[in-house]
Amino acid sequence: MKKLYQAVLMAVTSIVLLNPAYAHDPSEHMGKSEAPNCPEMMKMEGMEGMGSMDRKDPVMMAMMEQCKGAQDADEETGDHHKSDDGDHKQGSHHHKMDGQYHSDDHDKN
Amino acid sequence: MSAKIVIASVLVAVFGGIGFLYSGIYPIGADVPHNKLTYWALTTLRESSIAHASKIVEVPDLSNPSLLLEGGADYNDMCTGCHLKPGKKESDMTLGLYPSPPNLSKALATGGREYGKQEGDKQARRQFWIIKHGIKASGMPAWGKTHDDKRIWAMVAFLQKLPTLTPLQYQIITARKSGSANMQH
Repeated sequence: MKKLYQAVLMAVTSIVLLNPAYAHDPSEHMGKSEAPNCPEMMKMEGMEGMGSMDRKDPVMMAMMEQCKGAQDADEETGDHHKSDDGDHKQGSHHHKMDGQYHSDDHDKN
Repeated sequence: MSAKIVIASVLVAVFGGIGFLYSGIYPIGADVPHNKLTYWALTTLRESSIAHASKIVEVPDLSNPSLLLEGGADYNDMCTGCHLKPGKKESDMTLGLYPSPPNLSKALATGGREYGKQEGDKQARRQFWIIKHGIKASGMPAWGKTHDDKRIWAMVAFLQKLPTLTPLQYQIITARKSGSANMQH
């Protein structure tokens, strides 16, 4: 009887103490979802200041990660100068980024 | 005789205080600032409490760029209304709340001195604690009830860099690409 009582007490205590903090899905409070303005970034990379940013700087690395698909597409097609004109290109970059972006890096944390 | 005076004084103070509380004299509207003494007392209480409580917080490595992307997206979704972003100087919340939420997109005044690692860690502990536990009667919620520590640390990592970001850098880093919208923790 005593062992049964102890087992029940441990089970109840475990359930209470192991109650996790439920993190809700980011999409619950996601505002307007907009694509990163990668064409503007690539345009500015040629300018002073932005182009001289340390490639190992976490901010730079984060931006490059966001625009990875767009940069790869530009290198393949050689469309760097055409990326100056706006919505159509941005839309196509977004479409490519959807396919190419991997969220694995986030899972590593 | 002196003991009676002391006891009488204490009783007057206690009942006077209770009477003041129930009188409704003190203006509680957010559009009427505290007097300087009250402001000093509340600010000191707040900062001392946060400093004390956050001492035990251990700061992890915040240099991973992925943290900036994760924390930045959350900041953009949940925090900019009160704490602003590069290029935004005010909002309904910054004008209407009292005390006004700090503009986290602006660098802290350091008097020109460099922020060393120790001070950087102290700032990170403070930010983590405030995000997780909130601040009573201030409008700052306790996000820890709905967000785990990993997610809060990502926001702290982003806050470390936020004052250095241009509007373009901010837009790129905080944009949520559709592939990341269903990230589970």
